[in-house]
Amino acid sequence: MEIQEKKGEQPDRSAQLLPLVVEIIPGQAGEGLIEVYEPGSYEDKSLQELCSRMLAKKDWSIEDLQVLEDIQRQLDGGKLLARGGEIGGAAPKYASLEETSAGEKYWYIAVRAIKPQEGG
Amino acid sequence: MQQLLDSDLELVVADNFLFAPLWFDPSIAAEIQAAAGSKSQRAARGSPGGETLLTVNGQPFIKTLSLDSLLEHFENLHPDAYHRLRKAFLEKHLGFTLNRDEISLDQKLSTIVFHIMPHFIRRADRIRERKKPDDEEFLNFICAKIALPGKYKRRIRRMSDPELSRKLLAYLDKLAVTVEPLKEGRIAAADLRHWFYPALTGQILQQEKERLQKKLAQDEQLSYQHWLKAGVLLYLAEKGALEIEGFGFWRMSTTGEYVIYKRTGAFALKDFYGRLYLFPDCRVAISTAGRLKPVVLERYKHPFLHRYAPRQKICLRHFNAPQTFTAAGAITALEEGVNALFYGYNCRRRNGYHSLDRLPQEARLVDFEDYRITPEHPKIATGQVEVKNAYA
Repeated sequence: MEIQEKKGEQPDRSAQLLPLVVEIIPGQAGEGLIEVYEPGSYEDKSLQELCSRMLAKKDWSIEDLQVLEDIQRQLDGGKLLARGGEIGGAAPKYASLEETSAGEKYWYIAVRAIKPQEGG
Repeated sequence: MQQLLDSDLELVVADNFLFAPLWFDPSIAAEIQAAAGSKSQRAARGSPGGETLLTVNGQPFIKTLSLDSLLEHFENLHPDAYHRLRKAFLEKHLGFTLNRDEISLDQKLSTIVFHIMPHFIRRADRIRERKKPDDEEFLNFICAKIALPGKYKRRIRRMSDPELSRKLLAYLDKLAVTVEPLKEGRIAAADLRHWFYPALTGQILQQEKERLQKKLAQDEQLSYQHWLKAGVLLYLAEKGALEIEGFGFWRMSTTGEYVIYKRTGAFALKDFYGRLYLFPDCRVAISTAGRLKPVVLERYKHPFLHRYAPRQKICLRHFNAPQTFTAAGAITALEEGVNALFYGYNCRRRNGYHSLDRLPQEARLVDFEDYRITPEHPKIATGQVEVKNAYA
């Protein structure tokens, strides 16, 4: 699936049965760890649950394991944030509608693993 | 070798070998006497080819290098001097760089382009095949992202034109570098120099002819993309600057060091009362010279910046800025800087140099009232701008 970002579209959550793509991005990296949840498998789950499942998964590729390591490094004293907030709510609440270059629609959530700086 | 060429020594040339003067020392003198057994070894043995020592007019000389190996190995022993000479030859006779492998980025630029930039760039079309791009893949990505200036397109057209290569080869074939053999016997180092550099140029000419012949054979198999990548490399090497998707860098003309930056894009922060402040885009940057401390390039204000001024260091706690430039250090420093601006301000603790909300009776050095927006602001309402510290 080739994915093309299509910003600004707000989800019409009136039951579009679409896959959900969750991406956990370490810090300010451009790309992160991706998991695709099929319709029916995520609607009643919190984003926290989906992320915990991703982080506990063992069968990542070698490239993904490097990203996972970066995420764990950020989470050592850091937290997972989506839209600037905590991720305890239901996953669909954070999703935005996007579309692949082939025109397939899907829900997308970007979660950042961030270790906030205490400056000043 | 270079010292020998630049010296004012007297040397001896015999049977294609250079003999350097052996300085007088009682122990050396004893060794010479023991080894030689005659005043003129050369005369007695006919050929000095296998001899290590020569005595000419009573002065001992020791065998050093063959003239052939002097030419052959100069490139390996003194690559900088060799490449300067070769570049001068190419510029004089060919006028431009011919091969992609001729174009190289300096080490820092290469680190920025191939090790730091890929970390910050999102290549959306590859989201399902998560794999770190190798240098060639990333160069392809850059090719697709930038419009190469016409000057560089013209240069790659010339580089990729086999007809031009054929003409150049014909031109080089006609070019002759004739060098008289170095006379035997005592010579000054200056005589060696006068012989050596033209001889080396002759060798470069021969190598260039061979390279052009090889290039001609290869050119027909090379795609336009190959030359486009060569053009992009040439552009990067010369210009030393690029920005793609909010990540960029430029080379400072005075020092040759680089400034690397990551744009934040517009973002919002909330204050103690949950009111929102819209911060404009800025560039968080580090320099490859010295410690990697993140600064904001623009005239900017933020709770973690002391004043409303350009090039201010971002106040970071628990961050030990790396002393020297490495890809990992630069990535960490840029991330810490951006993270601090985005997520560092805790509205409840009002940490930083300044609080977003004005405290009663407070004299303000920096004020954020002009950044205040309502939650209905279109950028917030459409999700275009994120409230970064909503977690606090």
